Amino acid sequence: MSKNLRLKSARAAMDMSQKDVAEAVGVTRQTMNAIENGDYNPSVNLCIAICRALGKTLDQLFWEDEINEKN
Amino acid sequence: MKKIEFDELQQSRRYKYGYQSFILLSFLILIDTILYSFGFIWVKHPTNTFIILLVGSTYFISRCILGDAVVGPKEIPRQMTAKTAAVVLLTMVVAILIVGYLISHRSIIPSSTDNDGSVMGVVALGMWVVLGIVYLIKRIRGGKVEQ
Repeated sequence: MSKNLRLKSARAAMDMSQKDVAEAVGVTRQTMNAIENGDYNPSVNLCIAICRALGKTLDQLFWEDEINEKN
Repeated sequence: MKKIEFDELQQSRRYKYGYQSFILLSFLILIDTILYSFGFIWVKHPTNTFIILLVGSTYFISRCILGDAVVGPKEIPRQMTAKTAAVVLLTMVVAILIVGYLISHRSIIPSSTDNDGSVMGVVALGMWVVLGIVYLIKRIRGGKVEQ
């Protein structure tokens, strides 16, 4: 799996650390790190929680198409 | 009292490690049985089974430590209910009764003549040493927070 750079940039735009996002969605920092690095595929519920915490939509952070495939 | 809740990645990892530990235990018991059938007894029964169980437990806990699946993201404070308090009290009373009975009937209880107890003690100590080393490795290797 490739890295989720959109998630990382959205988090940076909100000036939040992995720990901040992890606390906001109720997971560990290691889990957030694994999601960003593409080591773990989160459930839809967790994706929605992350999107809510970062003020983004599922499409913006997790949808993969021709444009976002290489991210 | 505190209840530890794991997130979904930790839960999936714990299930995976539990499955691996189960397979490991099965194979170790199988190998032990085969060795026993060929007449090779490395430790007497039932100490061998306890040692194999300790090895499986050590593997599971070590994997959980390395996979960050020991401490959950949040600890929810849980109040002790009357039911929990009753169970704790009952357990303590039963334990005291058993210990009292064993002490008063020490003369009729057969004492062990082999050194299986010390073997178990050494293996249990080894388990704690291994877990300590794994924890140290994890602390040295990890802990970097990405901003």
